[in-house]
Amino acid sequence: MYVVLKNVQRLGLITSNSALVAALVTWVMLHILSYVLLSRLREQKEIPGVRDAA
Amino acid sequence: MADITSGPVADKTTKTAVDEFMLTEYQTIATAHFDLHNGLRQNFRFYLGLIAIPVTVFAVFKNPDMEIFALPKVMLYLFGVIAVLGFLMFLNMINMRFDIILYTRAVNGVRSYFKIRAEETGNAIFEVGRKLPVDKNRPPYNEGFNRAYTWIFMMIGPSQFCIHVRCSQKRATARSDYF
Repeated sequence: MYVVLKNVQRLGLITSNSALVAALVTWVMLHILSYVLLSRLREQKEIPGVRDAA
Repeated sequence: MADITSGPVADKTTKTAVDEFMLTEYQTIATAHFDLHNGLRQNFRFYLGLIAIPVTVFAVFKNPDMEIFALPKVMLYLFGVIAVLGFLMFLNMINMRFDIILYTRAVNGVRSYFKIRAEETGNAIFEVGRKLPVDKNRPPYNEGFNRAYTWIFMMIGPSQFCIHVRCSQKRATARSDYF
C-alpha cells in the first residue's frame, strides 16, 4: 500500500483526501458487489437445469 | 407405528415410504439449519474479537498522544491485515447465511409436500394451522442490506482500511519530503 501510494502521489494523480475517499468507496463497494454477485450465483445454481449440469 | 407402503397406494391416507423420508429429511435439515445459526453467531463473535486487536495493541504503546492517522508501523500493518481478514470473514459469513437460506428453502419444500398430501387426504386442518411458507424458492438469497451484521462489516472494515490508507499516505509524504 505504501509503495502504491508513494508512486501515485509522486505522479500527482491524487490528493490525500481524494485517496481517502477512494479507499473508503472501494472497500464499501467491494463488500456490496461481492454480496450481490455471490447471491446471484447461488440463485443461478438452484435453477434445476444449471444444478443438474454441474 | 403405522404400516409403510413403498409402492403406489390406492388409499391416500396410508403412510408411504416417501412420507417417512420427508419426515426424516425435515428433522435432519431443521437440525442442520439451527447448527448453522450457531456457526454464524460464533463467526460473528470471532470477527468482533478480530477487530478489537488494534485497540489491544494500542494499549501496549501506552501513549495517549498517539494520533489516529500517525500510527506506528506495526499498527499500520495491523489495520491493513485486519481489514483484509474482515473482508474474508464477511465472505465466509454470507456464504454461511446462503447455506441457512438453502436449508430454509428445503424445509419449505418438505412443508409443501405435506400440504399436497393434506389436500389429497382432504385434511383442511393443515392449512388452518400452517403459518410458515411452502414456497421452496423463498426466501431470496439476496436479502438486501437490512441485516445488522452487514452494516457492521460495512462500517468497521472500510474505516480500518481508511486508517491504514491515511497512515500509509502520511508515511509516503514524510519520506518523499525527506528525500
